[in-house]
Order: sequence, then structure tokens, then C-alpha cells
Amino acid sequence: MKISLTLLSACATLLAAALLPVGGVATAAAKDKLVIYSIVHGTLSDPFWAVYRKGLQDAASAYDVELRALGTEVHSVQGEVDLFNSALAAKPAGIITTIPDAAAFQEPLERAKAAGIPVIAINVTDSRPKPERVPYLFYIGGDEYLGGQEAAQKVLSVKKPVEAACWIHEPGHTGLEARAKGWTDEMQKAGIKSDTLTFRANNPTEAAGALKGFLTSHPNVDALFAVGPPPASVALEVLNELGKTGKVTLISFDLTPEQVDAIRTGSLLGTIEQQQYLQGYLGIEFMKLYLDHGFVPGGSVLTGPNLVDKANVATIQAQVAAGFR
Amino acid sequence: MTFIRLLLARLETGALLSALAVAGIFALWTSSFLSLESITSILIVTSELAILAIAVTLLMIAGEFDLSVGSVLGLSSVAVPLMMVNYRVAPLAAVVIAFAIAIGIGFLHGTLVRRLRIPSFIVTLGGLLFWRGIVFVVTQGFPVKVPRGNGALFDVFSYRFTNGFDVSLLWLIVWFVAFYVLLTQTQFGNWIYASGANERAARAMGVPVDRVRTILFVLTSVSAGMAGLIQVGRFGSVDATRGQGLELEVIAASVIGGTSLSGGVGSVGGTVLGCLIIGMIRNGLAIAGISSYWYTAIIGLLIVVAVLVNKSTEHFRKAAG
Repeated sequence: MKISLTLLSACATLLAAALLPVGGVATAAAKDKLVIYSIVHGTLSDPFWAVYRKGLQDAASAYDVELRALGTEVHSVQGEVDLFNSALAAKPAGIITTIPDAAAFQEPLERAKAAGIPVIAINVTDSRPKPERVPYLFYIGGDEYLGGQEAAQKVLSVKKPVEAACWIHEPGHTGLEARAKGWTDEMQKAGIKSDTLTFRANNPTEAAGALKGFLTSHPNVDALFAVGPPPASVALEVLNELGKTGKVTLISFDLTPEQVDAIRTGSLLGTIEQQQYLQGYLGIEFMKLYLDHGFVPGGSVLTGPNLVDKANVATIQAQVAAGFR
Repeated sequence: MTFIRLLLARLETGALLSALAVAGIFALWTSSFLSLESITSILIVTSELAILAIAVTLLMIAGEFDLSVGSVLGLSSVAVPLMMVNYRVAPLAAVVIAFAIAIGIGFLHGTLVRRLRIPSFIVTLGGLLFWRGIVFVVTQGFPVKVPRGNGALFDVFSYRFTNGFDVSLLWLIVWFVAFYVLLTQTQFGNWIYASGANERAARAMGVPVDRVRTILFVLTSVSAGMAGLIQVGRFGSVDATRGQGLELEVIAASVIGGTSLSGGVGSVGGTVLGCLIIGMIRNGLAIAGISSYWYTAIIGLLIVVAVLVNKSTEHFRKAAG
């Protein structure tokens, strides 16, 4: 009995010890502040989302609002919807969220509307016309389709590929699909066939093997669009190993220090960034303006596409180091 | 004193105390935790998880594992809209076929374990990878949407009323009652405990251990199919990663609820409480705006604590018979 009670007390203490320090921080926040939630479909420690989060935090400090930034442990639409439902229960002043799957968000967004909680979509959203789309105020983020087109146009400005390819590393992600479609449409307009690769890049070794296999069996492919940093990183390595750096023109999406270095050395032609710092910063800023004055912009607020290539990479590099890009 | 002894003799006590502790901490932490919106959100997460975890618990009591449940959930849920879109299969027929697929997979796993004497850990690990691979192959990784105008049938599996409650809670009640009765009120239930506690003795006493386990593999797969259909109803679409990682979460819920990894010990009520704890922690952390990494850390802690509590109260259960 003694052992049991000791153990039970130990368990309770451990649990409390695990929870209370964090709780202390949460409850210490000023109660008068507006509470704004941010919810994304990926982990906030991902370098991409870390920059977005910095934007959120900087704006939250500037506008003196309480920020509660949430992300799923792994890429998960279901997990994000569950987080959204929990955020609704807290009755916040507003929610800023990505919408990677419009059908999955239909019901929770309608509940938010019914509860009078304003929602701003960021980063990825329902691209259908307003009368058909899921209910949210407006969108802040890149235009993914235009981004894909710009990537293709940049490649076409330096060469006419014999055959092209586009690698989507998170199949089913509507934003990545739109990037790929923009690329493919633009290539087709130029009369160039473009294949779409859909293997995941979360295991770089396996992904590298798959890409090697593809490039070996498709020797005519001399232009590749990697729709995000993970496939860009793998593609840089694979092209180097195959001795095809420069022969296969590589262009990518988003920005990491590795991509910046690759642009400087010429192994990457360029990258399309969506300036996700702005998505975080403007998300909070526009939500505050909406809550205070009811401002709603006339349409989507585009933070991209913005091309980074050899011409402007030096300027951008300092911003990457400072965590703004 | 006798009351405390009786309480400690119950397998669910550890999970119940943990559930109360978690609820208490979050209720003190944030007032929104006890709101109707919050409670209904917790119940949605709990229902989907528990329908699957209850069946996994029975399998674990019988001395086997099923690591493939997340992939089976993914396959059976993706099969429904895929058949409707690609082959114009009627919604009801697609649902029936999805359950048939689940039954087939469960039977296959059970048969492989029984006939080839391969440990269930290996067979279902293979199943986890194989069925997930099939999901990626048939979808090419892209999400599949339920065609418009087919909502009515799927509302039977999941529909959230204006007060926040979801139909899935009713399915959890059905699953709970059915599995509770099966485990505690029938001869089959006795066979489940006997198969996991001492397989050799059970066989000597005439318990059809292989048949019991095969039936439980089938029930586990059917439960995975059910959880998958609830998610089809809830989201109106299925992505290729649906159910990924769920296998460990349901085992965690079972262990937190008092189920032994070595078989012979476990309860349906304890597992539902384990799922409720997981639902409360997920929801409570999100309401408080705390990173989901804390969730992973706390669940890890709870698993170890649950095993310690169950170990330390074992002699009370033995004394109580």
C-alpha cells in the first residue's frame, strides 16, 4: 500500500511538474490582451515555419496581442483540424490558419463563422471563387500557380529544355500541386513535355535513390523543378553524384541557407520564395486591423512569388542569416 | 481502507486517477477547457481513437499485437471515395466493400500468424508497410474527395450537430457496450484472457486459441475500417497519410488504460479512459497554445507511469481474485 501511494504521488508530481511550468507561462500572459491563434499543417520547428513564426512573434510584440502558435507534430490535415477545433473552444479574438484541404476545413470554418470568430487564411488556401469556397475573410500568401509559372519562365529564359520534370514531395498538398501545375502549363505552352514525380523526401536516402533511378531512365530530362527545400536539397546532392550539375538545370521553391549557397555557386539557377515572414507578420497585423476597424482588403494579399537568383542573392543572404527569409 | 483496497484492485483505477488529474490541471489552467465546444472536441478525438483502441486492447489481452491498424484505416477509408469516383460504385456498396477489405486483411493477418507461426509483431509490421504502400500506389499520394451529394450516407458515421456533439460518440458507445459484453460476459471473453495469460494452459484446457486470435485480428481490422469511415464522414476527403502513426497511439492508450504488453491483463473501460486522457491532453495543450511537442513528451511519461502504477497495484488485484 505504501509503495502504491508513493508511486501514485510520484506520478501526480511528475505530471504536474511536466505541465505546470508551461501553464505558468500561459496564465502569466496579460488577460486583457487579444488572443490570436495561428495554426499550420506542419511542425513549427521546420525551417520554413520557423521564419513564419518569427513574423508572427514580431507582429504580436508590435501590436501587443497574445499569440498562440500551433502546428502538428508531422504533416497532418486531420491533426490540424483537431487543433483548429481546440482553438475554437478557447473563443479567441481571431484565428490565422493554413487550409491545405478545403473539404476537411468546411465544417470547422462554418463553426468559426457561426461563433463570430474571424479567420484569415495564410500560406495555402481554397483557390475556388469566393461564392464556392470555404468561409474565411481573405488570404495572405504566395500565389502558388504564378510561382510555378515564374520558375518555368526563368528556366526558359536561359535554355529550351529537351524534357522537363517537376518533383512534388508532399503529394496531395494543394499548394504544391498548384506550383507544379503552373510549371507544367508553362512548359507545355513552350512545347516541352514535363513529368511529375510524387515521391516523398522525408527520407533523403530513399528519395535520392528514386530520383537517381528517374534521371537514369529519363536521360533527356535537362530541367528539374523541386517544389520545396527538401526535394531541392536531395536534387542538389543527386545531380552532383551523377555529374549532372549544370547539365540538368535545377530551380526550386522557398529559401534555405543551402539553397542560397547553391545559387551563389551556380548549381541552382534560382528559387521562388513566398516571403513567409510576411505571412506571419501580416497575418497578425491584418487581424488586428480587422478586429479594431473592420478593414478587409479587396482581394488576396500576395507575398509571393519573388524570384531569388544570382542577381539578388547577396542581398537576400543577409536576410536568411537574420531569420527573416 | 477496504474501499481504497477495492479501488486499487480495479485495473481502471490508475487511468481514472490520471484522467481526473489531467482534467483538473487543464480546468485550473484554462477556463475554456470545460466549455461545451472543448468537451465535444475532446469526445470527437476520443471516439475515433477508442473505437480502434478497444479492439486492439482485446487483441493485446489475447497476447498479440496489431501494428497495421493505421494503414488498414487509411486503406479502407481511401477505398470508399476511390471506388465511387473511379468505378461509379454506389456509396453503400463502397462502404460494404471497404468493410469486406478490412475483414479480409484481418483474416489474412490472423492466418499468417496461426499457420506460419510468425510473430504478430512481424506480420502486422509487414502489414503496416504493405497496406500503406498500397494506399500510396492507388492514390499516387493525392487526396481523394467524396463526390458531392453523397453526404447523407456518411453522416451516419460522423455528423457534428450544432451543439458540437458528433455521431461518432454514439458509435463509441455501441463499440464499448459490444466489446465490454464480449470480454466480460461471454465464454469467448474468458478464452481471450486465457489465451494471453498462459497460452499452453489455455490450449490444454481446450481453448481454441488460434481461432480466438484470428477473430480478434478480424475485429481489429473492422474497427480500423470503422474509424476510417468516421473520418471519411468527418472530413469529406481522404489523404494518403490518413492514420499514419496511429498504431502507437492506440497501444499507448491501451497501456495507459492498464493493458499489459505481455497479455492476459486489460479492460475496455481502462482503454476508453486512456483515449480520453489522450484527447484531453491534445485539446488542453492546444487551447493553452502550447506546442504539440509537449503532447509527445507527456504521453511518453504517462505510459511509464501507467506501467508503474499497474505493477504496484498488481497484488491488490490478485488478492481480490
